[in-house]
Amino acid sequence: MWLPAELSVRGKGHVVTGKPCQDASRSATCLDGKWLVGAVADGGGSLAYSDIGSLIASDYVVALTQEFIEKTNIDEMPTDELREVAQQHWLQTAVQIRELLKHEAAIEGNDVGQYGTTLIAFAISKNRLIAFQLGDGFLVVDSSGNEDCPYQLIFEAQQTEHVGEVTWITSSAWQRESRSSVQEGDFNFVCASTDGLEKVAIVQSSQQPFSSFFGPLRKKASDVADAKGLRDVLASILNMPSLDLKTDDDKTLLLGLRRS
Amino acid sequence: MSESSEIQFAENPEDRVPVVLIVDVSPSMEDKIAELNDGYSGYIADLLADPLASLRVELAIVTCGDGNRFIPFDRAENHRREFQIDAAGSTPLGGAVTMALHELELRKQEYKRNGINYYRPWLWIMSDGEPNDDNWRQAAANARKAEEDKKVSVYCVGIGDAQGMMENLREFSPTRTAKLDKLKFREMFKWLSNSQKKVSQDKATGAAVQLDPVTDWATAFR
Repeated sequence: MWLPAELSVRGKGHVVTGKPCQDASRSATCLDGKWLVGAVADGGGSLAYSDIGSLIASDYVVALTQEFIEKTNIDEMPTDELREVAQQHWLQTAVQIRELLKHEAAIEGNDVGQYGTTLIAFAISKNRLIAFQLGDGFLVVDSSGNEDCPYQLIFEAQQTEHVGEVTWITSSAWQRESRSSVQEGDFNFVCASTDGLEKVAIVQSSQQPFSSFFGPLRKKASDVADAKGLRDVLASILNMPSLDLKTDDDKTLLLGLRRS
Repeated sequence: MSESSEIQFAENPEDRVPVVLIVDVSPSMEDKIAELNDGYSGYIADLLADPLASLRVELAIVTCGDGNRFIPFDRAENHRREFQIDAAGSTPLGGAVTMALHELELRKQEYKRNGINYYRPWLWIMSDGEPNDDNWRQAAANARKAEEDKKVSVYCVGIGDAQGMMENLREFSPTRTAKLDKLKFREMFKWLSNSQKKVSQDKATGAAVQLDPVTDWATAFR
């Protein structure tokens, strides 16, 4: 059974300017808790309706992926076939989200570009992970086979010359810049986040998860009894004053722990 | 790399937004320079009033008059100045753009050597006349290529009504050239500081963050 919780906190930069939190996150379990589906999205800071964009993207990708997991014989499917089927799922889902955003923008008389957001989405079981990423942020799972680092970053940061040049889901380049992955393993921990925490959670030079971040996080999370307790752990981390010294961006954590 | 650069980066390791302003100080700017200086002084004050932008926006200036003069990259607080007209000057805009692109590349190398991340640079060209140095069209082609390669965002502002001015400026930036409405330098510089504050605190979509309309001081960029 997976136990998930997620939380997004407004960054100090947005508190000062009176902007809403433009991050969003969602999770849900399916197939009797054997699978966990989650998403985090980071709306563009200068975009007028990106908080709505990130909400719509994270809501829909979780709903559509739940449906996908329930309708697909995903536990039995050969890995190669799953790779293809999962990629199709992510691309079709992204297309649907883009259409939804266009529809929302048309109803409100807005430019759809103002709804731009990044998106990380995944579904994970004890043995399998399917994942999608467009833009920045990170997705980390436990990695039992690696003694040096017990955590694995699913998508390395894409190298760009200039700071902050990410591709939103509303961009015409979304498909070229999106990535998907299928992993087999023995999974008991998953953590997704937007870029607000990248500097404290990922060693930028090696693109390795920072054990000193994920170790204590996992330990704290393991001690809680339920989703509320897990959410309290996330709140205690995201509201640490020391984090505000590292970033003024919105901060999001989505955490899942598998318990037998 | 100079020692002062090392100290600068050690004291302020924030991500940088490099900006080069090309300022036409040829004699034809004589009747406009007071308004330009007034707007520029507001621009510096605006950048200084924003704690993050004051650390991140790094300004350099190339004047375009009796030759080209380069005033190196530094934080806004060290760029308080009044521009003076070069009485014997002309408008060597090609040389100014070549100098600006070259200095931007050098600055990027300094950032890289010091582990400083940087946003896409801005090249902001202001002129009221016709470029009159020999190789200005080649310089304009280089600016377009740099923009196409996403190395820099090039903006041009035409001042006054000189014949052919806007067409010439569009050679440097076909899509981001605007004609200044009257002498609204103050509004233009306000837009510039607001935009750079936005950029310095945001992610962009590959081209640029969503900037405000320029209707306070020009019709539109095109």
